[in-house]
Formats: sequence, C-alpha cells, structure tokens
Amino acid sequence: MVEGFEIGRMNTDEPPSDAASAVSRAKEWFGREVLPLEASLMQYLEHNWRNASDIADLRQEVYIRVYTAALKATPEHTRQFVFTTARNLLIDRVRHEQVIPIEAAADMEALDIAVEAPGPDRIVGARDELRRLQAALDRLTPRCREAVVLGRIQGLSKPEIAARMGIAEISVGQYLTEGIYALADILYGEPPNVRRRP
Amino acid sequence: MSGTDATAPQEFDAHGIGMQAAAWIQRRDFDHWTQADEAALDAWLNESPAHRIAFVRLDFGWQRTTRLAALKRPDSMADPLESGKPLLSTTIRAVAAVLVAVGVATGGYWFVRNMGRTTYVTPVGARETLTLKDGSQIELNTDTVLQMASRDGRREVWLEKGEAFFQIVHNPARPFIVFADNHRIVDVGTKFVVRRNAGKLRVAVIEGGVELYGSDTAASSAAKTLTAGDVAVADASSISVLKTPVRALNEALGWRRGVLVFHRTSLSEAAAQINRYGGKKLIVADPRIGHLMIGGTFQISNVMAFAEAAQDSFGVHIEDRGDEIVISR
Repeated sequence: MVEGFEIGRMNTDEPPSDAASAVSRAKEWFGREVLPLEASLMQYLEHNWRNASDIADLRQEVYIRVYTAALKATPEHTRQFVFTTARNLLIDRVRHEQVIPIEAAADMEALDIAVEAPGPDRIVGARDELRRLQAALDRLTPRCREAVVLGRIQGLSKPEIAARMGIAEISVGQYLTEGIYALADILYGEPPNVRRRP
Repeated sequence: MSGTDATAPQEFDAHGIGMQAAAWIQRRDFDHWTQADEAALDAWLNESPAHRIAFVRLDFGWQRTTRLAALKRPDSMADPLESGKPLLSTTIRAVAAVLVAVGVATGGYWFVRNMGRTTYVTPVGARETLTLKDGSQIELNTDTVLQMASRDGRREVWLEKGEAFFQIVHNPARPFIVFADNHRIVDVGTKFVVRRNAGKLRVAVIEGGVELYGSDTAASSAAKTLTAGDVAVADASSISVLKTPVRALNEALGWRRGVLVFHRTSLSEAAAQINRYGGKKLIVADPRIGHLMIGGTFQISNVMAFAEAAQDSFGVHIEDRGDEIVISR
C-alpha cells in the first residue's frame, strides 16, 4: 500500500453489502444532509423546549435516532425526517416526565410547526464556506485559535506548536480539543451571523 | 426509549461526551497514534451510539477546516515542495505509516490527512496557479482540492477533488507523483491534466509522458505509459486509453485562459461543463433540445453570451431568472 492513497473509500457504484458500508453510508448522509440542518434544529428545539440546559442532549438524541435509522436505510426526505424525529422525541419526553414542566406543556401545540420552510441551512457555495470557516475561526478564543491555526493550517506538530506558543504540549492538546469541540458548534449549531453566546 | 431510566442523564450528557470525542480526534491527529489507540477508539465508539454520533459530528466539522488553508493566498505560502526543511519530521512520518496501516483496517481514509501536507482549495468558479521553485506549475481548475508534500526526495501531490493541469520540470532525482482515486501518475517530463469526476479518473497527456499505475497491487506492477495525445480513463477496476488529437486536448484546457471551447458538443453537455464554474446556472429544460450540437469559444464568466448564441443558432427560447438561465423550445 502506498502512503497517501485514499483508503477505504466506498465505490458508490457497488451496492452496500455489509455493516461497514452501512456505517460509512450513514455517516456520509449524516454529514452531507443532517448536519447542515443543525442550526434550524437547534432553533426548533429551543423554541419548543424551555429548559435550555436540555437542548444539547435533545439534539444528541435526535441525531442518534436518525443515524440509527439511516444504518438500515437512508431516509429520503431528510429535513422532514429530522424534524419529525425531533417532534416525536419532544412528545416522548413530555409524556415520560413524571411532572410535566408547565412551560413545556404550554407549548405542545407549537410542536406542529411546519418543517417545509427553508431555513438558514441551505447548502452554501464555496466562497460562503470559506467566509464561514474564517468567521468560525475568529470566534475561537485567542489561544485556541492560535493552536488550531498552527496545527491545522500550518501543519505544525504538537511539540512545534508548544514551542511556538511557549506552553506545554499538554496545554496545546487542551486548546486543540476545545477548538475541535467549539468549531462544530459554530459551524453547525448556530445560524450564520448570529451569536448565541456573547 | 431511553431518557427515562436512571442512567439516562449520564448517557445523554452531550457536552461530556462531546469533549471526550474531541479529545479522541485531537489525539488521533496530533499524537503518536498506535494500533492500540485505534482499538481503544473503536471500543469507545462502539460503547454507545451517543459516542459515535458525537465523534462523527465533530469530525465532520473538523474535516471542513482543511478548506481553511485556501484562505491563505498560494503566493504568500512557502513552496511546500522546495522548502529546505522537510515537511514531515521522522516521527510524524512513522506515525503516518502506522495510520495508513490502521486506515486500511478500519476504512477510515481521513487518517492520513493533514500529516504535514499543505492543502490548496479553489472555490467554484475560481482557478489558481501554483508555481514551484524549479519552475514547475500546477493550475487548479474550479472546485478543486489538492494537497502537496515533499517526502524522501519525492514531490507528491494528491488530487482530492476536481481538476488540475501539471507542467512539470522533470528531475530524475526528485520524482513527481500525483495520487488520485487510488491511482498513481508518475511524471517523466511533461504537461498533463488530471480530473476526478463521479468515480472516474481522467488523465490526458499534452506533451511528454507519464506512467499510470492502477489501484490494486497485482495490477500496479504493470504501469501504463501514456504519451502525448493519450487520454486514460480509469475507475476502480479498469483503465482504458484513447488517442486524441493534441489540438483537441489543448482546446479542452481553455479553462486556463478563462474560456471553454466546444466542437460539436451537445447543448446539455456544454451546459454541464459551464455549470461547473458556478456562474448563472444553465438549465436545458427540454431534453429534445439537449442533443443539439453547438460549437465555439465562450467566456466562462459570460454564461449569458452562451445562452444567446444558442438562441441565435437554434431559435431556442431563453429566460434569465437571475441565478439561472432556462433554455427551452
């Protein structure tokens, strides 16, 4: 095997034959079609569930449900499927709570909001993508951004980043970890140009 | 469904799981990564769908940042193939080798990404010329992702996506190798163009020659030598080679000058080619006119001129809707 070959890329002409291909198909679908809906999904959950500290967990559970379903068959209408799943999850949660939070119950009717409305999650062009990535990077904390830029864009190793930033390697690892975590939230979770956590 | 039993809060602590997943990605991409680490990661991923989904989500976001490299203008970058300092330190190279082996086992092709490589990206509609210190040039067409690294004296390029034209100053001491779609193209002093599209790899040689190696080890012993005028089309299982007039190949490289040249090209094929460049989208609304043959040289930036030429030639109806131009009978 020569280094640098793309390894394990699925040949899309071949029908999926085993569990591994189902996983990569589901992952690919998830990245291409579900993640771009994240900002809309978060708005939906926030609008329909007053306890803000539950939102990340609810999103996680929606993702698990749609991903698990996609392992069996890729859903045809992703947007509708994701929001129906979210709606069902919220209904389940309300039913299963021993004490229904008044705010949550008050909004039960709102669960029927239309899902066809186009959200801010349309596929963006490459230029928009670059602008968005730059903006996302700018939103990281300064040390975090520095570590990500050095490691990801300049391609420096961890010891090199540590030397450049004058900090221990373990701290570099922490900044990079924070960066990886924060970038997904910024890129997927928030509508463009909207700051949720000032 | 989950969420009601005692373990639920633990299970769905999205923040905690997310931070664990981020730490895995960070270690995978920046630490010495062994097969034992890979096994441990697999075990963690298989522990719970929550783990897997958190990991997949963060990794998608993280992989998108490879495009950030494009925010830097190529001319402000050090030539990665010619810099005095080796891009891959010995340690990282060793790690990369391990990762490749692991990647084979798990089907995770992203493992070898970013290991000391420099990534160049052109957005839709853009093109970019990279000039190396020895005078070699690489021109990236629209919507292309290309990575470069120098290793063991070899100049290596990975065409991840799109199309690139190579004009390479041959140096027997420093082979120039293009990796694309599981194939290897080794320069033997030449101008050639490589395009990846829909699972197919196309290599056309304009001048000189290249050697094309197939994907699987059995076939790779027999390299195909391509010389001027050869157009090879390869997929995972086969390679076919056609002889084409060099003049036609040069015309197909019109994009380097911002034009597309058509000779008896069907309207639908011409529209597909123009649409690669992300201007106003051409829509051929009626399949019956899609077969009409069109010829001429068109500015990529002026889609309307093309539509008007079609209107003048065939009397078709065109409608400018702002973002798109619809061609109908």
